[in-house]
Amino acid sequence: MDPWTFWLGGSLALGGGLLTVTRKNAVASVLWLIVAFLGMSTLFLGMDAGFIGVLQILVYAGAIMILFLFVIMLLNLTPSGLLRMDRPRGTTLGLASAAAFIALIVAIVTGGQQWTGGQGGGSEAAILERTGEASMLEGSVLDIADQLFNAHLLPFEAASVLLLVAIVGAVALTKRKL
Amino acid sequence: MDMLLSSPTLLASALASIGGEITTSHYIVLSALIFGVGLFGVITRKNAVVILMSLELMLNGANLAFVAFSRHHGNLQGQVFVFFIIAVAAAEAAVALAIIIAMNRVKGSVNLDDATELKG
Repeated sequence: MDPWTFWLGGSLALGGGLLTVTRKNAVASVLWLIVAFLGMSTLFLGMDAGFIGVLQILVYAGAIMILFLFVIMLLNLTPSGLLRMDRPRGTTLGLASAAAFIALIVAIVTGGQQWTGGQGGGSEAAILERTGEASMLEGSVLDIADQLFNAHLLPFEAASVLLLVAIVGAVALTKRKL
Repeated sequence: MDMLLSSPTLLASALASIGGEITTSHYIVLSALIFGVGLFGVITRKNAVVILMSLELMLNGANLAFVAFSRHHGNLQGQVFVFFIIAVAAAEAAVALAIIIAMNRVKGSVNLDDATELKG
């Protein structure tokens, strides 16, 4: 847990996220969301979750965001329609619910000491001591593959069926005549 | 209420910790912030595509907490869970975008305020 990766990735993810939800132009939102995902990937790599970090870039920033861009271009929204949608509604409700959720989590994290430094176990040294240097996992593909194909084989196959259903469903929904 | 009263001291301690050691709690608070930003987008925006993007942001906030706890406990289950979340998010994005295209064809708009057929 390098401070440098945390502050860089965290500011990228949070700043990109804020710009994503506030930009009027949907294409700008997509591009800022890609910045946010790159920040998330930095955070994952900083936590030794290399596989998840690479997956984040390949699947999210690569495949899913390109799909979003394609759909936005395909919709070809008229300027008047965009303008009507730009006026945000429920800003107070949005701010209140987001603030309430964040306050809840902050209260939980600061209330108990088990995740912070000090006598809690959240510091780098405490984590290393608890999990041991050798079993620090590092999110390697080998370890995750072992988990996926042994302990979680059924969910893994179910996920593949889910993706197949999604593909067929997307085609069935968008095609005018089957 | 205690939380609100102590928020200046919390902010001060957060600022003082810049450059200091990063603990698991830092990642949990960051994941809550990212989730909150996504929640704000889902509630306030009208464009269905942008709402979908805000949803992806919320999923990412949850993913961050999963990986942080996975590291905290030295247990890979959290990362396996994130793998499944990413797979489900991909399926969800594909189906939702297909629905948005179909809605745009029927209504000529992706404004969610125009979709009122199920309103009682």
